[in-house]
Amino acid sequence: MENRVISLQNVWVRYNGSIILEDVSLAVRAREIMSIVGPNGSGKSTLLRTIMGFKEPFRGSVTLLGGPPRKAPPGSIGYLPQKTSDDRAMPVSAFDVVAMALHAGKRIFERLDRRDREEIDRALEAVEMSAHRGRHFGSLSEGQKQRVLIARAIAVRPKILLLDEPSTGLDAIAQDNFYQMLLRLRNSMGLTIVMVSHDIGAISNIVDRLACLKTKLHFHGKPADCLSNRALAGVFGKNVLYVSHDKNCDTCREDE
Amino acid sequence: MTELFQLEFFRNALVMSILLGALFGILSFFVVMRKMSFLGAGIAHTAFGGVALGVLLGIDPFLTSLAFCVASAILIGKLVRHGKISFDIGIGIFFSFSMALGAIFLSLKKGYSFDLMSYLFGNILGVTAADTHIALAALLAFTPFIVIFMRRILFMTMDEEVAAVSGVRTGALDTALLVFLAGIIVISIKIVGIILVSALVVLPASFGLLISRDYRKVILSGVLFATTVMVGGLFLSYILDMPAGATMVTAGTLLYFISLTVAKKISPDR
Repeated sequence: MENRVISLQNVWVRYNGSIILEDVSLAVRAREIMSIVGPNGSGKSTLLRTIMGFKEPFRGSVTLLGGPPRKAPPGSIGYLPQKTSDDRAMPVSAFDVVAMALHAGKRIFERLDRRDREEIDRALEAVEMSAHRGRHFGSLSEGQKQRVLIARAIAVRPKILLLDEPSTGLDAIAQDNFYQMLLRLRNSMGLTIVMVSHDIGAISNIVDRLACLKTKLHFHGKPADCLSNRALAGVFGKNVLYVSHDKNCDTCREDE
Repeated sequence: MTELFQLEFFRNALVMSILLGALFGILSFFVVMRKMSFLGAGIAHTAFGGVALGVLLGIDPFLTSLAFCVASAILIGKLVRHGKISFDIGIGIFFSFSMALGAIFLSLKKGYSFDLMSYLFGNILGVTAADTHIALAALLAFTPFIVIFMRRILFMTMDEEVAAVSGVRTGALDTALLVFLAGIIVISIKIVGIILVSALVVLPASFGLLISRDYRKVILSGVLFATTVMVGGLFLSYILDMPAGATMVTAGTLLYFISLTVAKKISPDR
């Protein structure tokens, strides 16, 4: 496969003596949006953390941008974790949050310059949060916070964006808007996006590939193929009634 | 009151209060944000074992308590970071273990009269010019460290793994912060004591968070609060003929609760 930016070969990961990932092999190509789906405890977040190098496989290998995960250049990975720490009390603005990512890549005595500030503004604009740049981060809605955190992830112009349950806490309309924003970012910035989700209905319209995971990888391919075979039943343990909403269907929106 | 300034110990205590006010004002923000308040209390109590070891070996208790506290802070930090134990379990174990060691060390020093109360609750008579020099050195080291790494520390406080992926050396920064925490606590023990110092770790940032939602202003408010409380408490203790450390902490606690009440009246959503 050409242009692969993430590659896992027969990866096994263990935590507290239990096998969390078993013989997982998959690859993600540049500019692809891939979603890892599966029930709670299926190893989705562990897989994401293994890709970033926070979890070491005891067997198999992981390659990120052509090298070991921990050797990936700073700023090449944008990451949105499932849940941040209790951020309500953190006395920072939306602008401050995005600026953190740029500070992280600076040398010790280097300060943010005009270009950096423009990058921050550009990132906030890309997620439609420019109007809220000076607002206290903790006072934003969940959806707005997610957008600011995405802005932080993309402000350094990463090659890969890793998102862990990014739509948690968003209502159906906000989810749809959020996924459309991801599509725009992929198209405008050439991002490769890997996203953990358990909401197959919401993401099947925007992803190029699905990886159905329950410790083992049950399926890795196009969403339509996944939905038409027995992969979902294998992953979720029972036949899953899957409803996909056409993004242009007004009735669906009203129902939601 | 001018006669007070003729007294060397009072001048030392005054300088020490100003320096510690600045140190705790800055430190408090990062301790509270990183939810390390209980660690502050734990490290302070760990100092007791170090003080007792110094007494037993005839070494300056400042040095032994500094070594004890820094070692405990790093060890607890490492154990928690590597998921071996939780923060409260680690602190709870080290806290009581060090206090127990202290009691054993003191019992081994037969016939030695140890002024336990001075270490537990502070004694401004014990503050020397050398102590103020150490506090000044700590301030000169800690302030640039914070100015340089403040945003990186904020980043890892908010999202440790995201910060690490983005290039922040989270392990090294966390260790440095723990070393400063331990060092500043040990420096302050002479004036406020092992038992009371944890209030100074928590109160300044708690006050600052009532004042602003901008981290720069929270830190600045914390510095003003801590300095006011320490210097004001020092003078108040002279006027009321009360122990200085206890007066500082009592004044700080009252000021915080008054501010909290006022803040709730002004902004009920806070």
